Amino acid sequence: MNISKVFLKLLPEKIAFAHCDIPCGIYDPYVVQRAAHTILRMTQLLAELKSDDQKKMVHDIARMTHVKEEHVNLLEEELDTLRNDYFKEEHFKTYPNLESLFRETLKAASKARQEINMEAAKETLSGAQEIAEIFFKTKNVEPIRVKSVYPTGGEIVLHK
Amino acid sequence: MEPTIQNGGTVLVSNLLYLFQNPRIDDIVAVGEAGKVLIKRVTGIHKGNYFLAGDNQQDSLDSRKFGLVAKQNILGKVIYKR
Repeated sequence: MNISKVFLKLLPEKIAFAHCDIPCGIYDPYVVQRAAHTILRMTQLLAELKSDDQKKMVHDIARMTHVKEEHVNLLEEELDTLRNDYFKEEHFKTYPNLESLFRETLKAASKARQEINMEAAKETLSGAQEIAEIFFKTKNVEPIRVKSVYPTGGEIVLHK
Repeated sequence: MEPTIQNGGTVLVSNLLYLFQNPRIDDIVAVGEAGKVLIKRVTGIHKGNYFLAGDNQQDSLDSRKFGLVAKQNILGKVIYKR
């Protein structure tokens, strides 16, 4: 053992983070949009639900509400990741509406969770799409809106 | 901070140097932030506060996120790395 190794052993040790976030760079607004479409779909199904069989009706309401809840949770988690881990101060400066977009989308999602509210579900999806467009712009690719293949219809934001 | 500091690398931090001088641009420093010790590079100085950035700009958690850092939060200068 040489002197420098002995010297280093005598010093107090602490773990430091030079990277902090794993520098994987894998961020994508796709999951947010899929979750928003699912919230919209569950809201549609709940609003249209009709059955003479009360037991089946209660069962279906429970399942659809459960799926809606799960996807609001997923959407919130994914939006938090984009807001806190991906978007940096310069992005919020370049797109001054970005912070309020996050806030309003989360507020609409919360309302869509609490109620069977088509307006709130549509607002959640629209917010998710606008955030996705800004995301792709920060990656220097051109966002495009394409027709979704979901029963909700509408669009999904991808890039060229 | 890749490629300057690799995962699993060791750095030696001196808390004495900054008793006699202020951090300078390009110094690699240890900073206490969010309950962790982070290693970052000084890339800007503004009214006695320091803008710290990771060398890996794409994904680094740095002053772009947590803002300018006061000198008292800088734990020391990295004087040796391997």
